[in-house]
Amino acid sequence: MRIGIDVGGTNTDAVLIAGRHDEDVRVVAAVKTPTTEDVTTGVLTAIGELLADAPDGFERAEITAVMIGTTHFTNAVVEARRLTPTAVVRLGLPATTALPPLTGWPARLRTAVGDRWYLCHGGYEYDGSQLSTLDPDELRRAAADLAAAGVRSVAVSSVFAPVNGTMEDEAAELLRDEVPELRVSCSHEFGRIGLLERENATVLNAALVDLADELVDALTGALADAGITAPLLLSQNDGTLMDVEYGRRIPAATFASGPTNSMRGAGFLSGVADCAVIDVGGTTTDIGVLVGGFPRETTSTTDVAGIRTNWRMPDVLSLGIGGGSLVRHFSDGEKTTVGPDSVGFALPSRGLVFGGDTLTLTDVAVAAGLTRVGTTTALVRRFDQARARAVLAATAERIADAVDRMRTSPGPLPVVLVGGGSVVLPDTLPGLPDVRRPEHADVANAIGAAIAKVGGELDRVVPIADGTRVRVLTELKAEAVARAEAAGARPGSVEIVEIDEVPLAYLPGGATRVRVKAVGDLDLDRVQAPVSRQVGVSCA
Amino acid sequence: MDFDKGNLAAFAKGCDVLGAGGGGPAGQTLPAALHAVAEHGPVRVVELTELPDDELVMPCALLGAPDVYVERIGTGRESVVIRRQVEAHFDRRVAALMCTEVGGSNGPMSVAFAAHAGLPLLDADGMGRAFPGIEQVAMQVAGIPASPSVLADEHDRVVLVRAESGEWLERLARNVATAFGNRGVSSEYVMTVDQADGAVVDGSMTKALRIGTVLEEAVRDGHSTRSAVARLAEEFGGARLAECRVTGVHPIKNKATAALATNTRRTILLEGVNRDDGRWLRLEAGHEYHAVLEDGELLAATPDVITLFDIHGGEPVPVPELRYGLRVVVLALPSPPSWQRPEGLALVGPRAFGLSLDYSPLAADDV
Repeated sequence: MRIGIDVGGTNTDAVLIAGRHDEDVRVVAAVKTPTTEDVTTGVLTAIGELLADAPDGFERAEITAVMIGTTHFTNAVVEARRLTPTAVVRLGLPATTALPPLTGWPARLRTAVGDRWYLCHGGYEYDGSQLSTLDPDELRRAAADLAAAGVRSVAVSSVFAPVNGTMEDEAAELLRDEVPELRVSCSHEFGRIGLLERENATVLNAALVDLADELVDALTGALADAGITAPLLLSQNDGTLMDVEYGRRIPAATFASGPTNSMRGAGFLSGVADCAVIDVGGTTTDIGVLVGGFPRETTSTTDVAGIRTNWRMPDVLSLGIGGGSLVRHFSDGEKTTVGPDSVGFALPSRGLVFGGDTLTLTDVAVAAGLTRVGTTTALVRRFDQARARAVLAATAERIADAVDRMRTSPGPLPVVLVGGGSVVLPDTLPGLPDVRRPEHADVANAIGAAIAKVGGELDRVVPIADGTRVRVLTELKAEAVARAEAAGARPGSVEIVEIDEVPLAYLPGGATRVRVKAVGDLDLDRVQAPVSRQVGVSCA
Repeated sequence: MDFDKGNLAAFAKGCDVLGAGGGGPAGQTLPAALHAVAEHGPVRVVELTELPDDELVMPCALLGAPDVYVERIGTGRESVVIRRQVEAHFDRRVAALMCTEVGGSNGPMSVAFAAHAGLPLLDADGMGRAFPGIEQVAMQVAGIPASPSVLADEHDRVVLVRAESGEWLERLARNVATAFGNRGVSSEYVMTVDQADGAVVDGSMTKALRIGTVLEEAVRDGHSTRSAVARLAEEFGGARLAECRVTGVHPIKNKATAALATNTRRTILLEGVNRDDGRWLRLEAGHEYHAVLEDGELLAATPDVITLFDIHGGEPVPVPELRYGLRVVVLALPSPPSWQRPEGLALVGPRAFGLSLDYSPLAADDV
């Protein structure tokens, strides 16, 4: 049995899942509780209710793992609070001065992390040769300076670190030799090419290490208090898991795990690996696409609280349509509008069918006879049913059009509906005949956390000369598989789920940028022995 | 007019439109331009008439691979050593820096180069858009020698290459670029102010800024992408060709050659939507969008600027980012007159990009 928990902005959802493999997985119990300020209390409440809901004879010892997805770290960045003072050490001189570290950061976050950076010599060329030589004295001076300023966490970045991370590791060691308690985050752990964006991601991570310690300690303590001895794992933004030791070092990898878990859970519940997922909430409708069971990711940069990062984020299109969307000009003959403003979480008190005073999309759905919630008051009943249907049809049209924009091919595309607001949608959408509403869709995100896998990824520029393509790709795939296994995947279960080859314009020698992603099943046997675990690539 | 933090974002947007799908995203170099003007103050944009006839105009452009620039961000100060080398070689003062290629990332980068070098920026460029080749500039048509090529990297390493032909210059310069780790800055077609008169594409900087401003105003006033594009077509004598959905992006492997202009080829199918329902457009692309055909007829072709706008976000879509399902508005803007002469078309017309098509001037929208 596994417990999957998703800590969202409003609700903490939890599920108890039986079965070890995808084929025999089933939901044994599911609960929804309010999220609490400290995260842990809400998680404990959810676990308590979940265990009370479990079938008779269930023992806590049967729990093999607890998977948690949380927005805690994202919120800390968005709110710019409880961030650890962080310095940036960039290895790249004499290059890279055109854009110093923290360029383009919102002033508030810049201040929150301490606005301290050092440009130092070092870094690599795209082929892995040296851009310039590391200067230990320069780094020692930076260490002395940042230590004097009371900085306890450092983000180290270097030019072409994804090709070669050695200098970042060397710099980390030099800095720690000078300042023993220093926490160091290295940019090569954040994969992708694009110095500034990768560096930004590293800085955000470095600023979250104290909060990560706090949360991990609190959660592991809470689980122990609840009598659960199973290992705790955290959801990452790409739908894979990390153990808590990795989580302490790389907390930023949890960003956007919410939408990823929700989409993966929806795909799993409906039994389709390639589909569009429409999550209709109170205020917005989020549309994403699953390819092989994983969300299609954005290709370009992603904004986190106004900071450009090259994080792997699901490609989600948001529309201002939800169950609580305000409906205007419904009966006065003008063009009826839906949203984008909404009564949001106040729907159960402000919607007409709930005795409130505001006409919402949910009320229109009730008037149209599409759903029955609340009380069908005289107010709703006097609405013209045909008019109500026309409004819903127009809304469905907008959503179908948005799904169409997310398509990658003209083939049939199953659609999975999740979220509390999905009652406003009909059972078929224009051009999308295959619409599914799986059972337990309201806790899809917690299920997504519970079924998560373990992954390994790399992003390189490699020379692919004529006739060497197969060999080069085979080597890179093997490396991605090894990374997934090192991160806790069961050997033999790891598959390559994504391979992206882009020949680089204007580069000689068949230089090609290759991204490979491998995922496998969580190796529960290994994860139970946390002491001997070796995690992925690690900073020296 | 000055470039400063207030108008650089609009300028970059205009550079992306003039990129015709190529040139690399201007948004990537915009932060470097903003940083440079924050450090050195605004960059003055000047006309040739404001400069002494016998002083030099120094074109500058990024050299190498865009995938290297995003990692090995340069200094923007490469222009300083290039200027020193150019002044020593010609034994004349440089009066202004010029953007070699306004389309795409070189647009904002030239502002950074000018700021660091302490030079004003000429309101002109070499292309009026983006092209892949060093020699695909108006100065080549005007008979200005490309040689010498002055190349620099962030370590203040400088190489001056002299060659008897554009072909040899490019061959040698590319090898220097390789030795630089595929990122550097170069200057070719250095000319006197007197020579530059009639040999460059005039007004490119102000044009890019104006395009970006029109788009920003459209967003501010809540106009749709299609009406913003219509305003651009109207103001610049162009044509809004159609509103479409991308239904296929097909690489043409057997036609690709080793030559830079034609080493990447693709055909894109566009299906008309809304008022263009029932129309089918075929788009030919390389590093940029090269031609649009409908029902066997040529609607627009290089050197005219063909740009696709994402109808939902309003952003110009670069060639590599075109994918199935995208909704786009297709805009064509006329190229500068110098490109439309036979010697210009030989260099940058459809045949220069491997297409067996003859250029015909764009039919502007009726206003």
